Amino acid sequence: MKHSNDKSIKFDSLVLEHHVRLRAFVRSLGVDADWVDDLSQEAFMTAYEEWETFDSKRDFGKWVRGIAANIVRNEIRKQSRRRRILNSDLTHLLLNHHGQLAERSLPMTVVAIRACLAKLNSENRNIIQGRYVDGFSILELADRFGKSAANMRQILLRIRRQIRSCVESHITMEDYHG
Amino acid sequence: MGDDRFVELLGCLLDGELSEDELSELALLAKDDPGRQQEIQVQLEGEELIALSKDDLRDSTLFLSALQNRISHDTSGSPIGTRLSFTRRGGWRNVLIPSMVSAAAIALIISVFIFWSPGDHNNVAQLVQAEGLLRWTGDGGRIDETLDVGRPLSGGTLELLAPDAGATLRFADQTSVTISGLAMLTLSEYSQKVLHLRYGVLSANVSMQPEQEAMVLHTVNAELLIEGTQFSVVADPSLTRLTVHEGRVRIKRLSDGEEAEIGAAQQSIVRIDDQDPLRVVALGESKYSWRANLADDVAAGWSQEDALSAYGTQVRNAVGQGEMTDADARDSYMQFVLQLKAEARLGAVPMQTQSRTGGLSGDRGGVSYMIAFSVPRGNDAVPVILAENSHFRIQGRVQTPADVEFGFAVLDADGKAGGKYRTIQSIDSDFDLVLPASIFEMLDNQGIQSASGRTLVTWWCSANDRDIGLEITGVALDRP
Repeated sequence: MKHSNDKSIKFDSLVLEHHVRLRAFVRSLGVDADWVDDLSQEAFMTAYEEWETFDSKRDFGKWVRGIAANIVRNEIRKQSRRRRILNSDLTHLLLNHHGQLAERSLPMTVVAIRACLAKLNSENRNIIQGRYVDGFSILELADRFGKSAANMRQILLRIRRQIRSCVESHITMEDYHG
Repeated sequence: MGDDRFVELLGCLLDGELSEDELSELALLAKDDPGRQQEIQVQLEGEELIALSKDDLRDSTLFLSALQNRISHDTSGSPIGTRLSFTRRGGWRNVLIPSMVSAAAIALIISVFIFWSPGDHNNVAQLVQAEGLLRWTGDGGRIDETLDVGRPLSGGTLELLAPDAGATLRFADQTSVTISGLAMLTLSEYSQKVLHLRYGVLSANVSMQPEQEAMVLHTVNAELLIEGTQFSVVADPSLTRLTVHEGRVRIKRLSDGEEAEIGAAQQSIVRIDDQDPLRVVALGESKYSWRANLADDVAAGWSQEDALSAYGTQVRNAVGQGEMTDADARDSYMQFVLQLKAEARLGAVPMQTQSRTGGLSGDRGGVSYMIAFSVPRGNDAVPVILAENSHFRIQGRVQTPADVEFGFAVLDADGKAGGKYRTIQSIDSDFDLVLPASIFEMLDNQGIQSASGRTLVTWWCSANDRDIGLEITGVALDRP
């Protein structure tokens, strides 16, 4: 490893464990989709730099999400053309809302997401394929599936809700198993 | 303004179609409504989770690799910029500064960026053999699933979408590259051959390359430099196994830059979590037997983990709906866990396969319910060879009587193109079959040819209906 020592090995495994939830969290604060990975990596880099201050008894996922939230907060102050967020008002709102919620901390996995996607009915799976793999717009999807654009948006909203809920229950069940 | 407008704006937000004014309007609509704020967060999270699971360019290993490089540059005080950006529907953003990603990612980024650039595209290779379901993404991101043999290819990505698929490309200098099974290969438009094997099995017969322009093959965790040789590579997100049949290939482990030269009849395996020196091992005597590891060798199948997850959700829902007490749910769940532990098994998953003459999926629009293994992936793996009298022992079950297709793919011993073979058997319920390899028929209508002496690379079975409930509990190859 380029940064090969015990700290790095431990850190890499924590990154692999927590990156999915962190990326989802960063996006949920209204960060531009194209900048989610950049900002998430910046949070991990800060965590790496501040490693000595981290109490290993604490929840790493929660700590690094806190770092990410601070980075996002700083984005609001930037000039608009250099910002990685979609809209200051929206991100401000979402940061405040996040602060009022009980923090979820169990890691999410891509395996769990794929298991949840596999449970969708075939039409919804095809819609997801069209939207996220083939890159069709809402209008193209609506046309292909013989639905209105508004209806297609509603379907996608339902699917996203369903997937997120399924992934959370997957984690809870794994925890239950443990 | 009510819910309709909120939902419309939220939908457009996720589609990336909101103006600055509309974004402010959405924020205003959600300002005093925690329920709407929650819904925005749920939708954005859901969007990100699905996007992550569907985009191979954003997987864990590439993410970690890019992060490690950024940390390296950061701690070394490098002044080089370190921002990373992906665009969801347009490829990679050209503000990406290459120094922070691994060599593999760099090649991929460069090649993908080139492919999606407007302008002329240089044909670099020709498709000379194609079988099963293939997808080509090139020419500005255009997707093509009707690939005819003889088609010229420029920069782009070729995906094999089913375990029984295969394709061979030939370059102008007669270098040939064959991929088989589930695989994903990206070609660059350079005059120098630059390829990225994201996953799958690849074998190549490489003509002598011009000086300073060796062929480069990237996998997720290794980089290969080839001047002229015959070799094969098995790659997945965590492992690269290189076997050289003739000549020499230089391999570099991307995690630490360690390099080694692999000669004829030698093999090297690079794992993502390797901490030890790069190992080069001589190919021992080939094996004639193989037993599938249901956890490690699986290429397609519904695993125990998936089954556990599904059952967990099922009992959880039952508790939620008052159909089961919490204690009963826990007991039921634990019994299910114990049952899974008692017997390893894999269930079939739906896969798009191209209809074939005489195949099981021909009358169903190309969908089969399939289980597949890659052979082999072990650390000390040596080629598994089929002998004249080899036989497969296959154990499993079906819920309803059905015709089940069993098949396998092989490569020639020298790593050049191989073939695929299948047989269809009528199955009633639990089964424990012993099938001589000689009864499997070659797939591409070239008559029955013996697979004897060839290296086994993929094994699969499939049924044409989910309700058949095809499961596999064991597969082994042996000879008397």
